[in-house]
Amino acid sequence: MVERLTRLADGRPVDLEYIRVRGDRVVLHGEVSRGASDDLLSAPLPAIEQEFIMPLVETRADVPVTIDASLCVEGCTLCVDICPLDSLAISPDSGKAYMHVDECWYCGPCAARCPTGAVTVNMPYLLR
Amino acid sequence: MTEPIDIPPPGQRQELSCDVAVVGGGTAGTMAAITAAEMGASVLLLDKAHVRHSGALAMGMDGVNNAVIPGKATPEDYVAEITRANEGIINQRTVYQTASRGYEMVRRLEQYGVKFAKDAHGDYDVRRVHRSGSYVLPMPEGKDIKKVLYRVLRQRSIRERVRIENRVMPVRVLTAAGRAVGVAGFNTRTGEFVTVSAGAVILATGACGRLGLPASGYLYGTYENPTNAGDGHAMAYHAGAELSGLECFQINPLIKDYNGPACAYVANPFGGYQVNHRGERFVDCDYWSGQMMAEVAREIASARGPIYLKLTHLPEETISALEGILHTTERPTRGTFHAGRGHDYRTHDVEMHISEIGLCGGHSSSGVWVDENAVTTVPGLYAAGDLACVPHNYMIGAFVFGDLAGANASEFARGPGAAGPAGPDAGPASLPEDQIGAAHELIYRPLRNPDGPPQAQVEYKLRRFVNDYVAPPKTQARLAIALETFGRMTAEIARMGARTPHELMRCAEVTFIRDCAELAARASLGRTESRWGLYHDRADHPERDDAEWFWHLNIRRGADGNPELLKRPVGTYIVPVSEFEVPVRDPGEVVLIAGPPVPGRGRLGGCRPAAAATSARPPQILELLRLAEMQPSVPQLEPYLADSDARVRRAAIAALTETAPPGAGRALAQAAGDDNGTVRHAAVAGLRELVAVLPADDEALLDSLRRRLGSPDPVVRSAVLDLLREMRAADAGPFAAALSDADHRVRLRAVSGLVSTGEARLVAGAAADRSREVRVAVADGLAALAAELTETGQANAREALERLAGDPDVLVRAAAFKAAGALGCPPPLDTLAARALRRAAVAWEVRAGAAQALAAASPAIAVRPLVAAVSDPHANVRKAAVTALAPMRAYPGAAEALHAAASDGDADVRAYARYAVDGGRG
Ligand SMILES: Cc1cc2nc3c(=O)[nH]c(=O)nc-3n(C[C@H](O)[C@H](O)[C@H](O)COP(=O)(O)OP(=O)(O)OC[C@H]3O[C@@H](n4cnc5c(N)ncnc54)[C@H](O)[C@@H]3O)c2cc1C
Ligand code: SF4
Ligand code: SF4
Repeated sequence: MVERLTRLADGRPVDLEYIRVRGDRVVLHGEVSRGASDDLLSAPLPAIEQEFIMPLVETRADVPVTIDASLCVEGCTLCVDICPLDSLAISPDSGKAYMHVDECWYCGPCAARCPTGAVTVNMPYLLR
Repeated sequence: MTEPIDIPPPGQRQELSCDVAVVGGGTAGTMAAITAAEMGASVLLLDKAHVRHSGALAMGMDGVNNAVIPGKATPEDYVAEITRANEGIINQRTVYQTASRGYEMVRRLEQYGVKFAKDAHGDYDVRRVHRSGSYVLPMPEGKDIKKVLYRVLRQRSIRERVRIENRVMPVRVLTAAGRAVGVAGFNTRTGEFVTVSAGAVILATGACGRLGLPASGYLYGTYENPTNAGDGHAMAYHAGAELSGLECFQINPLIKDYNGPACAYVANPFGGYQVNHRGERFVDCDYWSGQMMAEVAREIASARGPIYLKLTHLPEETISALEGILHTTERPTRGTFHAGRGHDYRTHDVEMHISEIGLCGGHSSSGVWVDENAVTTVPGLYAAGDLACVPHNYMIGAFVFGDLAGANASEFARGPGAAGPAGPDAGPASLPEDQIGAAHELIYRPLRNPDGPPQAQVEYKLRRFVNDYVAPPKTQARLAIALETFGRMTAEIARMGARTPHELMRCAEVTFIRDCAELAARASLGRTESRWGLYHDRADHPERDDAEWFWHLNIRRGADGNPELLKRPVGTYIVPVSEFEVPVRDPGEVVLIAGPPVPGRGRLGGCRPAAAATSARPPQILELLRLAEMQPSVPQLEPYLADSDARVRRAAIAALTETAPPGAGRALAQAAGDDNGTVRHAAVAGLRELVAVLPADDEALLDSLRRRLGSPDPVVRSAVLDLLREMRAADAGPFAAALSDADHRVRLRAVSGLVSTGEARLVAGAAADRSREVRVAVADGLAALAAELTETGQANAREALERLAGDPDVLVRAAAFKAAGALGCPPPLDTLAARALRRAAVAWEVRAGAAQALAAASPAIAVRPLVAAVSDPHANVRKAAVTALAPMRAYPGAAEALHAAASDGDADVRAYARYAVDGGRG
């Protein structure tokens, strides 16, 4: 993948020859462009040659427990409070419960105690 | 918990203090906390989960495995049995505690409101599950046991002394001058560093359940609750305590892939049993032991594998009753699992497999070395439950040792010479800052390399190596590779990365797992013999070697900081067991074993509280949930019980049942009249749950219950009959009236009620009922009443059984014959039974029942058909015939038949015939 970058985060324009992403290796190559500023004119041109590693794997998992957001009561935290593996959390976006890690003993108190029946334990995929 | 955090400086911490710190609020830990509080100690109960649903009992338990109930078994029988199961290597003094205090514990739990199975006479209904010993006491409402304990913890008298800190996870016990003075840990939600200064510390962290990798490959798909990663084992070891029997692993036969118990002993009384692929029973071993696991493993691997729990032969009603238990308690997702594969007990026998290895005192014998008072080798440090080395201790043993630990720790902490916080005004004792620093480093190290290998991958690899090199069969060569591998992984574990408090928890657990893996490999390497069947199967030392190894094998941190193995003598037995001769040795004699060098251990290093939880508009359900935390009274809950929304009413019933305030029974009885069916059902379920703590003399309660007998809902009517029976609050009247109910479930309850009130005539009268289930219950009920029948009662019963023996339904006929056996098999039932047994066209259930009937008949009539039945095509008929013939072995033909049966193809038939031939125990 090759993309063109035109500005640094602080707003300075840059003239990057390329950003190359190969596997989890990201390489930036180029130089900061000469702007209108005098300082920059007199300063030597900073060259950019940087390589860093960016983990690219975004693991998508089939989660063992699902929560029907339309039934989950905003403000309730019951299932989150009692899960022995602490695998449920309240989403800061929706205010509803969700499974934040695929760590589950399929023991069931989350489903048994939910006052609205929002929680379903489907079992971890690996042993389904 | 999902937000990244920074390392807090070691000095910035929450400092707590108490007399007794209890680490782990599962079975043993909650009991320890309650007892210590009752003895006046201030208690801090720390759990990395939430005490309400933590540990092995998170969703309850369906029975007590090891109850010694007076009249059913003696403590001596039990100690002898566990001595055999553990092949002699046992400190009988510890096991004797469980044997002799278990009954009192059952009574205590019952007072708290836990329900145990009772027979028609109100006695504990202990079952024989394995061929020797009657110790299994079912818990029909066992799903609520943790709820009951949590309720006790929150009663005012206890609450004032026990502070519960959920989601706080100690990682190290702190010691000063060789004694335990506190713990260091962190809050797994906020990441806050926590230290506790305590007069005594009780470890009750359960088994090391995340040692081997389950065959599914899922890290948390373990037999044990995966929260229990061996935390306490590692903490005890690093505090200087001895551990014992770490080479004696825990391995269980389980539902394949699901990896939970199939509960053969729940299924057994219903007629389920374990078979190989050819449909043959194969387990020869009589009690739960490594020997039994070896037989199971061998059978699975043989041409006769795989193995199954056979249920498909059972009738529909039996299967639904079984589902009612297996799919609601202990591991309630069993049903989801089977359904996901399109399997059903009606069409598919349940495939079984053996589990990954673990360390567990509850099921085998590995754990922290304790004496009969739960005392470890470190003063001020106590251990109880699955963590402690008290063989085959199970749930009741966890309660008994929790109680002992609570009592002894509280005495130690508050007695003369106690080092802990002496009183309310004494400041926290000064804690060892170097150890606190080391614990801090252990906890927060992964935050320094957030991009280091993640816990899931590291743990997977570690546990796969455990499977490859530590699981049996074991050899010196494999175990040596294991040690090298775990040494190498110390460095990988030190590089593990984490960003959130939750990930820190998992990373700390990986260090515990590694420690346990290394200790288990070292102990396995040390014991150069085979013992305990599969648990310690050394392929390179296949024989048991009593001369060299009739010793406990313990492990502890030596003076150089490396693990050291030592042999401790087996103490003189208090209950002699003929198979074992205990060498006479000085109890203080300890033999150190030179071991291989130790791989180096990792060293350890600084945070901000996480964001506050979200809040939003609370509807009534939210108010209720908050209220439930504060022990609400019935009047406080009343508005919710009367809410127009059924969901709110249901939630109010849940709160009422959870907290059980005075008057809860009446309010629930009221709610049982609700217009909404789900609300009514929740109310009667609540009443059932609380029945042991409902005031049986509360006339207003009883009145409103009786009114519910007129409910249009059969579920309510059935429940009320059960309640009246269990509270012993009714004469025969309501039960007799209910015999004419339109719904057969209600009539079934009526029969049970009449049995419990001893009304043989009325029970017998129901023999003409139109429901097959009721007729079976009549036969069973008459059998239960057999011992107390008057002459007319006898006559009534005989007539009814005669009628039932000619019933068109197979199961009714079978039950009638079985009951005839209990009644002494009077004529003409004896000739009817003899005839049924001879006819191959008769269903096998009936033939088996007939054989049971003949066990009580005159040998003149019984012996001939029984001898013939010893070669019946069906194994269950042969088994019944063999059992019935045993006392008649002096009669012609009987001894020969039994002899022949001793080599039957079926393991049960073989075993019973063997007992009969030897006249042995059984
Ligand atoms: C699936 C299953 C079925 C069983 N069936 C039966 C049965 O039918 N009959 C029977 O008699 N026995 C049965 N047993 C055995 C019995 O349940 C156990 O022996 C007993 O409950 C053990 O109690 P415990 O207190 O030692 O452990 P647990 O009850 O597991 O408690 C351990 C507690 O420690 C906490 N903890 C762990 N590490 C830490 C830490 N670092 N910091 C803070 N807290 C921590 C955990 O969260 C947990 O609350 C069964 C066990 C299992 C797993
Ligand atoms: S218990 Fe049910 S309602 Fe409460 S947070 Fe969990 S899913 Fe939502
Ligand atoms: S099934 Fe158990 S472990 Fe899984 S999310 Fe629910 S409470 Fe947690």
